[in-house]
Amino acid sequence: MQGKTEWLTGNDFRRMILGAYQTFMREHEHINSLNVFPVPDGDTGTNMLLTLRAVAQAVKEAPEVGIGPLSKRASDSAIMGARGNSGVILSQIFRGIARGLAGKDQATSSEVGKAFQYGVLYAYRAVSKPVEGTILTVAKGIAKGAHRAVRDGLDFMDVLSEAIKAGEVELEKTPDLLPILKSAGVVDAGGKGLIVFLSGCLEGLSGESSGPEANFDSNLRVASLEYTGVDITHPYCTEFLVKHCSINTAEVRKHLLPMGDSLVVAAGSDVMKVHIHTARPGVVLESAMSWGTLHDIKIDNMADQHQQRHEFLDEVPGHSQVAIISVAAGQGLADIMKQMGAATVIMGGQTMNPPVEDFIGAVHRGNSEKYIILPNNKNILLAVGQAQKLLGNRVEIVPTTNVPQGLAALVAFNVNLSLQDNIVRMTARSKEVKAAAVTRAVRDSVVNGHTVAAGKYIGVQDNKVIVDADDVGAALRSMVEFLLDDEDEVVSLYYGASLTKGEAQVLADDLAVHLPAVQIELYLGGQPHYDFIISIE
Amino acid sequence: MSQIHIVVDSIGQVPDEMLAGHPNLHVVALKVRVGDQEWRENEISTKELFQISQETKQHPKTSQPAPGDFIEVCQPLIKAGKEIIIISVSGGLSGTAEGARSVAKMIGGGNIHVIDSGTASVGMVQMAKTALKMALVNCSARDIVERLETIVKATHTFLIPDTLEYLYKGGRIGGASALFGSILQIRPLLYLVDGRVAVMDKVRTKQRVVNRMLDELKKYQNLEYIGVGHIDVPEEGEALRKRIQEMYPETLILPAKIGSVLGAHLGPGLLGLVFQEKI
Repeated sequence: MQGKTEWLTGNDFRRMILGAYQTFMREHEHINSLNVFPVPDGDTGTNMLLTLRAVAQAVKEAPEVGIGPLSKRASDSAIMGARGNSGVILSQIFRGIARGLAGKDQATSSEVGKAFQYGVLYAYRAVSKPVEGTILTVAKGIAKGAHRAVRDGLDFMDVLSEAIKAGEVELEKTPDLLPILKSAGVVDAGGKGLIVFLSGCLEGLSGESSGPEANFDSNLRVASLEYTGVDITHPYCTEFLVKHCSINTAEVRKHLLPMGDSLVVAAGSDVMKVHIHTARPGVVLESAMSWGTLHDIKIDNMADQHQQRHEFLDEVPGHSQVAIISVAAGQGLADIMKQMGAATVIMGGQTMNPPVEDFIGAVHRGNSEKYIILPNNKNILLAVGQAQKLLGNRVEIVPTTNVPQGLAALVAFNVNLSLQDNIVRMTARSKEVKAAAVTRAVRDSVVNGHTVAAGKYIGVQDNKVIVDADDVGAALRSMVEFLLDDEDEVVSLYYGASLTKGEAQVLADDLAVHLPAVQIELYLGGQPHYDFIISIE
Repeated sequence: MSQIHIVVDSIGQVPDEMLAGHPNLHVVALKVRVGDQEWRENEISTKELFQISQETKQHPKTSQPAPGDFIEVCQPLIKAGKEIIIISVSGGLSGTAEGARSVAKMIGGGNIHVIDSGTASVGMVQMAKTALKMALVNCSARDIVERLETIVKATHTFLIPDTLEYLYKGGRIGGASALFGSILQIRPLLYLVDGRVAVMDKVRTKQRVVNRMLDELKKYQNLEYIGVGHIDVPEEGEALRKRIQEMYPETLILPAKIGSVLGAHLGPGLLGLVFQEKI
């Protein structure tokens, strides 16, 4: 029973903490990238790092030599320095460890193992409503692993190795326990942080901590959440065990150091654990195979984790009850409608009325219980009515007769409201918006007592010609001025396929000069026939 | 000397004179940081915070108080045999309530009670005032807690952010996240439901969203107070206050101060209301 004769001292404890801190300096941004629960603010890694920094600094400078007093100092500094939820939980783990080591000058492997189990217990107790699939699930796994290893009388380094292994098993299960993690394609950030913490302790204890001396001032870099800020030169997080390794950790480190970053090499009694972020995982594994047998190989593309996280954040939530089917001619309008929450946009408009089966198909392909259809054109109302007859009470109609009405209805849609409340609100809002369009006369006609020649630009409201002009800009201005009231605040212009963005922008800017009291917004509509669709609110 | 002490976190923005006038009232600060600079909530104004954030191109991050910050305040009181009521910012927005509960378990021995206000700012201050008044006439902590829990249920919070960027980047936007980054400029009216941010309505213009908020406010006629807050838009805040004062000439209208930590999640240009139904 080797474990009975192994004593851990205050100095060992100090090495563990400093090792954990150094490991966190390398890993915290990766942990940030996993953070979606309880709030997706992407700072779990930073919070744990800052908490550990307080601990490491205190422990490093502490005059105490015994493991008991040192762990007490670690606990006190964690409680004072804790940041965020994960930091608070970490501080409770330190409290438990200190309790387990209280009054001891040095401690046996089994005593330290038990102290870590205390830590887990304290963390559990600290949380009023423990949620599974979080750091607590991982902590439980760690406690069990440590318990088994202590019972088997292993060395403390092996106790830590076993605890980490058991924790990793639970970490992998977190997405199954907490759906928000699964939909984001990540494991729990705090749980991962706890594993990194223990791995760092192991690394520090085995005297293998890499990189520069712990620097308490300048090494903190707070991860940015910007989409474009993700710059991973070594995207593959590669981990494996080497059994019966023929070379020592220093040599392993020397071989692997040029192949990536965030290198961790930790040795147990006959197994070496390697963790590296690399661009060439194959080359890393190939090298390692020449030193011994490889086990528990795990390669993650960290870019995926970033990507999935962002897709998750972008996704429209909770649409399974009610979804919207909208109609538009023009890719620009379709894109806007999708962004506003339309599940499906069917292409169609004034001269291109979509058939009934398009609506039926959209309902059958979708996975919502109910649908609200926005026809956005008088000529399409009939087809939508037919679809409703065939689909029964799964379909409701908000009878919008133009695109601005449809967009106003979409803006008012609220996933938190019932179907009926939504219909009432969307119908009311669609009527508050004033809509018109600018197009060209296709034949000569008489408007307000004078003749409008074919080819002239006309402003149209409810299929009636209201204004006419020789150029598109003048028609646009007259039309907007005709509609504008004192209470109006925003004029939205959706420019059609006949205009380039530059041309449309010049016309919009010109309009803004003439109408300083309202806000002019310009969007790509991409619709045929209409140079501009105008919406005034 | 009162046996009951009240601790409010810094999101409440307890006025200095109120703090000075009540020896049994205490404040524990949340923290905000940009890069590796960190401040306690009242060490930096919202204006300065946004400026530094812009200059360094780093989004501000916030943190609940460390357990030790609560312990520093509470432990001597507990040792002196006092009871403590902690009034925290909504648990749906911050881990502060949860952290305070951990501390209650660590050192409270049943004598630290945590009230999750479900709101922020002046809503917390008004709860603290009620607690102080009740403590003054020797009500038990249990009675005070019970009363505060009723007030929590009767308190409502409306928010009109000028931009969704801050709620989005801070991860506090929940179901409204789909609104962020949409092409059309949308003005959401947000409110707190069970302490979390939810969308009450969306409209296209600022004037309309303010009107929409006041329509919603009108549904409540019998109000104890209405708190009006803004972040660095004093004119808009004052205009809103005037309109509300006209609508509710008999009702107490209070400023709802917003500090840097809450500000970091709501962003500049916000207008907000906190109000309580009479009970």
